[in-house]
Amino acid sequence: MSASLFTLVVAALPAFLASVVEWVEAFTIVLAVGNTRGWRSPIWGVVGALTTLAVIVGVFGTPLIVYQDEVKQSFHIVVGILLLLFGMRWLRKAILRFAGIIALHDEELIYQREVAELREQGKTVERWDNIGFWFSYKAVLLEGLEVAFIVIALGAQGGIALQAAVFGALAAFVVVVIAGSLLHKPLAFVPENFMKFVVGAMLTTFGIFWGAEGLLVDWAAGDGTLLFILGGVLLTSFVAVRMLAQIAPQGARVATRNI
Amino acid sequence: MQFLAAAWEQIYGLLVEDGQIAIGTLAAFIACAAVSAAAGRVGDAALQVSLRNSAGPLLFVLLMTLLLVNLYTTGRKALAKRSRVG
Repeated sequence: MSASLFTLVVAALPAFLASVVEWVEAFTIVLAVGNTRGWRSPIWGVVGALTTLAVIVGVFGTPLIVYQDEVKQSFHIVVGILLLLFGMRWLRKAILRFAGIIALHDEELIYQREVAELREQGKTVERWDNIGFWFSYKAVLLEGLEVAFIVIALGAQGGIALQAAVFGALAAFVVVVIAGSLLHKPLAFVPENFMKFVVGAMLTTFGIFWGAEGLLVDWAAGDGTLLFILGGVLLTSFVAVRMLAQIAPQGARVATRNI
Repeated sequence: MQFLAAAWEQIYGLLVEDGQIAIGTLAAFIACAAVSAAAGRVGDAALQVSLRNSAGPLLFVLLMTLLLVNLYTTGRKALAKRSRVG
């Protein structure tokens, strides 16, 4: 595999998929705000949140890349551990959702809840709506923090990885905004759980690979080992879903949303 | 203040949702680091390399076992909860 294609797969693809999931969640809230209280303030809220996220990526991402060579080993360990913590969390959640143990993310339901909450706040009569601004700012910033984390972690391999990860996240933003503008309703058709599962499996794979490299492990198959690890993670996930189906066959009806 | 609390909760929640998974992941990593460090004290160079390189597959096995055990206990808990609810 050529270096640029490898970087694209390793950095841009998971950044894109993870970002679609997060931007869809943020879009639902911004849509609820815009439809309930007007669009001017929420759009400024989105702009403010994106600016804050760009600052976060710049402040934390730049030094990691500039000093990467000096602290390569510790750096691999830190990035590996962070990716593992993040990836295992998403993988676990997606498997529990596949098995029906926890409920799937329902964008329509979330939209209705947000609209109801915003209507309780009363109608806005001013040109500038503080509630509308802060609702959308918070939604985009909080969901975007996950995007920023993934972009920094995946981009921290150096080279063009950061650009690839940033490009993946921005492309996801553009896709979600275009789809949302055209449809003007929550993007409930996006297979969020499947995408979350794929990202979780990929981040866990990269976390194991880089984390072990930080421990001075020399993988026998080089970068090709990533495929073997990914295969193992997918196989384990399949076994886990089958196991849960045996343990709790009617999982979704269990009131265990916060497991 | 509420916003800062929500931001902190989000950042913390980015990495830790289930304590067992978070602590188990760190413990698995530390165990593999210990194997890698122990390899440095082995006299035979070939054995040293082989022992150090075994930390990678070991990390994979430990993490996948952790995931399966965690999901198994979560499934059992869900079943017990459903039985209590009726």
